[in-house]
Amino acid sequence: MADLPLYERLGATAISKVRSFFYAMGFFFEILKETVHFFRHRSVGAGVLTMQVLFTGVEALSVISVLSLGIGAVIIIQGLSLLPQFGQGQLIYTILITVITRELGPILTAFIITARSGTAISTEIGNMVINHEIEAYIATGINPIAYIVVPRFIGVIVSMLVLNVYFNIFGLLGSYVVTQFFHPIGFQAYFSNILATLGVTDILSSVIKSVVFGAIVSTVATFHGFAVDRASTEVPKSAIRSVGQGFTLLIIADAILTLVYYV
Amino acid sequence: MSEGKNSRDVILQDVHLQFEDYPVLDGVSARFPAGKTTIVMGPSGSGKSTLLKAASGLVPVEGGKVFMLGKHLASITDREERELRRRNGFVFQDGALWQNLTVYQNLALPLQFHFPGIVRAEIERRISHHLHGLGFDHQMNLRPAQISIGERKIISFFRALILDPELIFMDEPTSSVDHNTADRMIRTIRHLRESGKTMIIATHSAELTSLIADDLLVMKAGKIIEHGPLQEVVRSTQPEVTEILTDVLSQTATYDGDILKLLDPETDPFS
Repeated sequence: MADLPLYERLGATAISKVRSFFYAMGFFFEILKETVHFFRHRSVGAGVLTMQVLFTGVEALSVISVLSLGIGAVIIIQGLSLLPQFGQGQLIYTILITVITRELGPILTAFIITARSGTAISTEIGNMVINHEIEAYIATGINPIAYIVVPRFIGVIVSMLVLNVYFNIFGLLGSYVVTQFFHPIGFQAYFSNILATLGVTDILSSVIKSVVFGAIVSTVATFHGFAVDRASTEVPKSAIRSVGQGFTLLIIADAILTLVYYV
Repeated sequence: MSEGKNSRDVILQDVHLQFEDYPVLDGVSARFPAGKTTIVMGPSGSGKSTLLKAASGLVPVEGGKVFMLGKHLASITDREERELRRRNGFVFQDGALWQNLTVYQNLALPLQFHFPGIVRAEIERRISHHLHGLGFDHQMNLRPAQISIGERKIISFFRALILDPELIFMDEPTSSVDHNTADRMIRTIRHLRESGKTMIIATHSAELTSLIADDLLVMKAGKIIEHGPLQEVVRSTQPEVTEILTDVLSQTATYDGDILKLLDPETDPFS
């Protein structure tokens, strides 16, 4: 391709990208189809799903807790030092809900899951391809999408939802703890204000983002895992690609969903 | 092609497949009769493993048609494919065991998948039926990485048989295993042959070939250069066939006489 003129190279690259896009869409719809089967029929993939939730949801809990406690603390420190200067101290609760529940909770949880579980998933599947394990599944009649991808797809979405809830709890708790040092307020008063500010749309926005982000992270990771073809050197490359592409798609999806929320 | 759809034979018609620009299967046509054992021989890189994978539908072909158990593989539904897979088994050259599962889980998963709700006692009965006397009792909870390459091959071999398939593909089943285990595997393969299974086996083993082959298929550079009943192929006058068989067998056998006699079940090469 290096010998071709520039416009032909650009054309070939564009065609290749369009093909990849449609291939990825086909992969995604295959996952959706098999996910319906997973819930409708008794599946041997239930064990894989449990393991995925344990790895992604439970084992990431400590990272999420520390991160959200810190983020909550930083927001309250910044808010309490700036807002009262403009006589808008009460806005701190709106800012906490907007930043933690609607924005940072879902996106930071998704980033952590991408870095932690997304890489693990694409590496694991890539190694399975190299070791002919995927061929062995096909030879045995076990659909790799149904047995390998769907449990990870559901597992990551469930974990995203659960970790997002934890992020919110610890984030709001962290800000409460820090408040005690600057501007002591009663536990009940603090959480009454938080709950008064928290609307159904905030919760809905957070939940929708978690589901969409979980679907993106798991689809991208499994897609790149299966994209490994022959050499073991492709495995780390596919993991890196899954992180890069995952982050990009998450930010785009976040922007679109936030836009939809305000429109 | 109605002929392929009405037959239990495995049929390949003008199959083409290439990796990058390199043709791995170059216009391959063959018929593997039901109930017969066909041995596939050829030098390394001749396309034996790919032929097996194409014939079993593991590798989709780029040109031509493949029929298995009366089905055209390119036009079957998901349900038909699942049923087809239950009726055939594949022994991989490198074992291809599932690394994140234990030995027991590797053997049990195909049963659990195809027979949902199967009880543990039945799974254990089937596993012990195959592995009886092979000393795996204390290794059932180990992962494939914790057992030897030979042991992985045995587990892979019996995993392919656990669903009692009527059609079995084997890629170098007896390589990398010790002599006693190879004997056990050969006995099992002979038993499968006697019970009327269709088998397509890629091997370099003269012993396995002479004991079980009905037909012999010889490959070179992605093409079939000879295919027919064992004795006819062994006695072929084509210099290319003789050369390939002699080369392939001399890599695994230490025998000073006419090495092709090792393949001929009617002659005793050591007399």
